[in-house]
Amino acid sequence: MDFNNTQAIYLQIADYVCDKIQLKVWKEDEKIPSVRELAVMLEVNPNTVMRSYEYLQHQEIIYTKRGMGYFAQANAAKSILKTRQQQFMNEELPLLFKKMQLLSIPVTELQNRYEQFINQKNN
Amino acid sequence: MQFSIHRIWLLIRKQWAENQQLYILGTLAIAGIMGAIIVFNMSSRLGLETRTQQFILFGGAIATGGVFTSTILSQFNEKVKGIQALTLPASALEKLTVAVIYCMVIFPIVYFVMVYPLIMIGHYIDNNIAHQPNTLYKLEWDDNANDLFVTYFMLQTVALLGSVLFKRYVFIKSLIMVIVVFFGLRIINPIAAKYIIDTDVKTGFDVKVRETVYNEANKPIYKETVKAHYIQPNVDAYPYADMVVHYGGYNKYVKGASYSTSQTKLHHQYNTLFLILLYLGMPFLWIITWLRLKEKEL
Amino acid sequence: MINIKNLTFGYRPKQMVLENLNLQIKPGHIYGLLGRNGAGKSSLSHNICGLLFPVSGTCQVSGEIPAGRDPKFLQQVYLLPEEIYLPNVSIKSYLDIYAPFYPAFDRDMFYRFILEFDIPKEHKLQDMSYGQKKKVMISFALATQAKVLLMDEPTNGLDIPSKKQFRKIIAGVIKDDQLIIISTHQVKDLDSLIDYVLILEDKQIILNQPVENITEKLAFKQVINLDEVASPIYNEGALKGYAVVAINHKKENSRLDMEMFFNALLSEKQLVLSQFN
Repeated sequence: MDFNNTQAIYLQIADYVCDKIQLKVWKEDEKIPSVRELAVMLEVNPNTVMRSYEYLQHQEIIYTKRGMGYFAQANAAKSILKTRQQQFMNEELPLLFKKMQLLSIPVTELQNRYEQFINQKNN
Repeated sequence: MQFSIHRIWLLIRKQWAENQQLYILGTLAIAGIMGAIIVFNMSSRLGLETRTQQFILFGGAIATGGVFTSTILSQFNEKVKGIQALTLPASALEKLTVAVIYCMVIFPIVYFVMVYPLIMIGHYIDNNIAHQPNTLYKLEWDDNANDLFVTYFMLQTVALLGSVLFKRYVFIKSLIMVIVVFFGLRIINPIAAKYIIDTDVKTGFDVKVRETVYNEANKPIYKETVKAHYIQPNVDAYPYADMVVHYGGYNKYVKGASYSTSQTKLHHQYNTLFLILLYLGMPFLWIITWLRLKEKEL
Repeated sequence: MINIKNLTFGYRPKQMVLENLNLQIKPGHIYGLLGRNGAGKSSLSHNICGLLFPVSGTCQVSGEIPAGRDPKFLQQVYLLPEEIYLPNVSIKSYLDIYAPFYPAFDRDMFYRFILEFDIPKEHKLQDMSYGQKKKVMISFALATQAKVLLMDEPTNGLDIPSKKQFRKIIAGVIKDDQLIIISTHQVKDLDSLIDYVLILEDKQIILNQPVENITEKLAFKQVINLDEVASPIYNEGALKGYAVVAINHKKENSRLDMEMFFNALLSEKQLVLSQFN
């Protein structure tokens, strides 16, 4: 996997796991790859994957069954969505607003564009 | 101290597998060179004399063995190969043992099994085709063969030591070391002999010799103690040369028959001492080689 | 697992390469040993595997003294040097000759790596390219299952797919009781594997820290203007703005840039080291 240069690798791995769960590639309440498997897949130190899994456990996105490995939480996809929505609102939206202000783009323009985008996608 | 027969076997196998080609070609090359030397000597006026046969056999062994031995531990002297040689999981004693087995057991066996038949063939041609009245040199355990074998093993031991002592030009440096030791002994020996046997070894002195006269049937018939001149004929010789009592050429009449005396060789304790030192020298040098190998750094 | 106390080493008297070096290393990690050319990285790893002996001080590896070069010790410590010597034999013969010296050697593992590295099995070793030989030796080194693996520039000579394979193999093979020390200048190849950073400078190990500690204390960022960053330590001009190493006041979770960190440490040694005390 190609990691970006800005965020800590363990967080990027956590993000990767969240992506898979949110996109239902890894199903809820089912086993996700072991630390070792994911380390090989992503070419990283198993200790780093371990840290990501601990982080995700703490976030209640995954859980561990003794001797069986790691599983995605029952409502993981939903809680990931919620977290990511919040993250978008709190972190990315202010940046967008800042740029809109800088370029004098009205909010209505944004709404039009968004509706166009949705229509295009549905057709 | 770690010593495992299993690892010795693994090391022997490794040495062979890695140098197989070199060793086969080397063996053929030695056969070629020795064959050429035999042919060259056959064409001399007296043909392939017994003494020449012996000299070729042992001289060749000593020379080719020296070259072989100085390469056997060479990987320890090279940076890239040295890492592997030193970190290979076997003890220094095991690694040295394998080197000794190659130089002092396998090499001489291969050499004699290969070169002696060449001498036999040479002798056969010399005898039956060139009609030279020479006899075949037989590998018998006499004083001469003993000396030659001791010389062979001694020089291999020194070459082995040289190959862990020096990093570059192992063969040349070992050769220089042997020459220095050899001439050193020749210079020191008469001086040492003088102190040890407490006499002027150059002019000699008179001793009493117990004389026994034998008849044709080799039975002692007469005993007498006489005075003889005691000299050290090879005052500058190597340490284990025998002393000779200068007591030759006298005629004696015993019961009407004439007997002549010949020079008498006599072993002085001094000789024995040096012989023991010589034999002890080999294991002593092996120990030094072992210690040096243990302490070898990259 | 490795415990080095006041180690001093030099090839010549009065010209020491390492002086009073102290180092403690735990198993279960991949250590990246960084240092300038001639800083003594090889001297250090050669001391650890018993190829060189300390002038003074002690070096212990799993409780043993490397200089004794006991076979039991040598079975547990494998050094993969940058330049390698391979005899002119096939891969199979090489295994037959060398593998029995390592009782824990795993042949299946070896052949699996050879397959993953895409090396033709029947070739003679001396007909292979430098990169291929290197891959054979990497496979061999890992298959010995030695507890301590010292690798000197393992990715040198490896092509791009092989570097990827190398990372996958290492990620899959390291065990909790095993230790890998990689000494390298190619940090970009390996920085996702390394979880402990060792820096050798001024004849000593001046830094021995897990990556998470480094990113906890320091933030690595790309900025347009330098004044966007509070307490910068070191910066390098890049195409768009600057790459900056700064004190991590805001507890950001940035990714460690080993090259930047190494350069920052060398140019602002006191300031950087003071973050870790």
